[in-house]
Formats: sequence, C-alpha cells, structure tokens
Amino acid sequence: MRPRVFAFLLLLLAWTAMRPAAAAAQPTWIRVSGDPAVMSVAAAPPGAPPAVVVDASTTYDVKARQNVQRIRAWLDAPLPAGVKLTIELQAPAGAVSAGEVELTTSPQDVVVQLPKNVTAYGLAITYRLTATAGSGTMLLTTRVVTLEVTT
Amino acid sequence: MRKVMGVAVLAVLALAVGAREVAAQTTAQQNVTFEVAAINQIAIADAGVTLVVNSATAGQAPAAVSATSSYSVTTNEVGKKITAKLETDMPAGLTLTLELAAPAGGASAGAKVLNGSAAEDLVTGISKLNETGLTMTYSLSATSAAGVVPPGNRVVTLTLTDGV
Repeated sequence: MRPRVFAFLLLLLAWTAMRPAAAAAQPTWIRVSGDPAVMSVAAAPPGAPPAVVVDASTTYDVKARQNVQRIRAWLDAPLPAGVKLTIELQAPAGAVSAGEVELTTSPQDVVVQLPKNVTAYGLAITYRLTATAGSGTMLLTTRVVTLEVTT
Repeated sequence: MRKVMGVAVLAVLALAVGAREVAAQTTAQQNVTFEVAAINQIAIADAGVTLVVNSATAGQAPAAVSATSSYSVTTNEVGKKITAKLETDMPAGLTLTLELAAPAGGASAGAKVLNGSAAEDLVTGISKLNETGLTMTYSLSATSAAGVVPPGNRVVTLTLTDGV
C-alpha cells in the first residue's frame, strides 16, 4: 500500500474511532439530529382557525453529569403576531418533560429533573405551529431554537 | 521513517480537531422554518332547505315563505367577498332571494335575488377572520301567474373570492 493511501486510511480510522470516545468523555452535552422540515400552515376547516402543523422529524441526544438538572429552550427572535410555536421534548428516563411549551425569546424549561449521569439518544423533539386567521399570510421565515443543558 | 512520522502527526491532528468538534456542547440549535399560506374556506351547514309556497290572502299574490340555514367562513387574507349563484334560473314567476349575515367587519348586501346567469355579491369587506353559525335566510315568492309549479330544486353556490 502506498504511504499516502495508508496515511489517509489511518487518518479516517482515527477520526471515526475518536468521535464517540471523545463525546463520551465530555461531562455534559446536547446535540440535535438536524433541522425540522419546513412547517406550512395552509389549511383550515371552514369557520375554524388555521389547522395546527406538527413536526416530529428530529431528535436529540443528551448527556448530563452532576449538577445538571434541566434543558431549556428559546428563540433568537420573537414570532410574528398571531403565530405560535411550541416545542415538546421527550424526556430521558428519570427526567420529566415540561410538555408542550410555547417558545419565546426567554429561556424556558422543557425537560427538568435530569438524573445524574444520564445519557440518552434519539429522544423526540416535537414542534407545533399555529396561526390565527388574523395573523394573515406569511412568507417563509426562520427562527433559531436553542436547547441548553443547564443547572 | 519520515512518512511514518507524517502519518502519526496527521493522526494526532485529526484527534485534536475531532476532539474540539465534539467538545462539550451544552447548547444545540435548530433552524425552524415556517410559513402561513393563503387560506380561504366557506361551507354551508345544511345540505338543503325546503320552501313551499302554498297560501295566499284573498286578493293578493301567494305569500312568500322563508327558511334559514347557516354558513361558516375562514380567511387569513384581506378584501374578500361572498357571492351566490344558482346553477340555473328559477322557473318563470318564482323568485328566490338569499340574505347572508355578515361576519365581523363585513357588510351584508341584504336580500338579493338569485339567478343562474350572474353571481350576486352578498357580503363584502371580509378580512382575516373565522366565524361559524352565520345566518342564511332564503325567501321564495311566486306570482299567481306562475301557476302550480311541480317540486324542483336549485343548487346555490357560495363563493369566497377577491373583492370588496
């Protein structure tokens, strides 16, 4: 095998082998599987407000050690008037989900009572988007949702 | 030997860079992208109403009869109106009128004669609302000259459309 090829393979091996080990060594972390799909409010029963749009396509992983007790969530900017975005996180075993929480620019608890040394993967994140008829139409808009593991 | 050292250095660098990437992240972020599309819905509560003209005061035309139903409407746009139209004209001597109660902010045009040739504006000025149970009042009148008309039916179509 040529040295450069060997070096590349070794590099790749080191890279892949290192990641889970390094992650496991960290005391506390949280990560998400990606971004949810575009949520489009586009229907309503006659006489009723526009129907709620739900996205449960993403998950999160979390590891917490001592003194880490909750996960908080918040938006980077306020939502347009009449539009409401909620988030619900599935809790790791032993923790408690706060259920459906309306997101604002202020951090709010979405999971509490995280046990010490808990590690969990693939926990569901559910977003629900609602709009009133009075909010009118709205072009594609993006908000950044931050999840934080904290004491 | 130099090559082996190079490989080792690269491996160490990879570990260092990778370790930095997965360093303790106590926060994670998601981009949530959303939109609200135009929504315009209207529906009538009842499948139909029955109107029978069968009395008159002596010396006068047959008495008009009326019946009510209700409709619901949702729109998140501005400047909408509701029009009504029959699929075909009424028989000669018979007149069918319809009056719609207006939702908040809208204006009812009152009772309008329905026909099969042109849609009539019944409510105007509808913007960004959802309401149910809005009253529809049908009225059927007949002239004496219309004679006895066998049972028939007409389909009334309400349309929520642009216009003020």
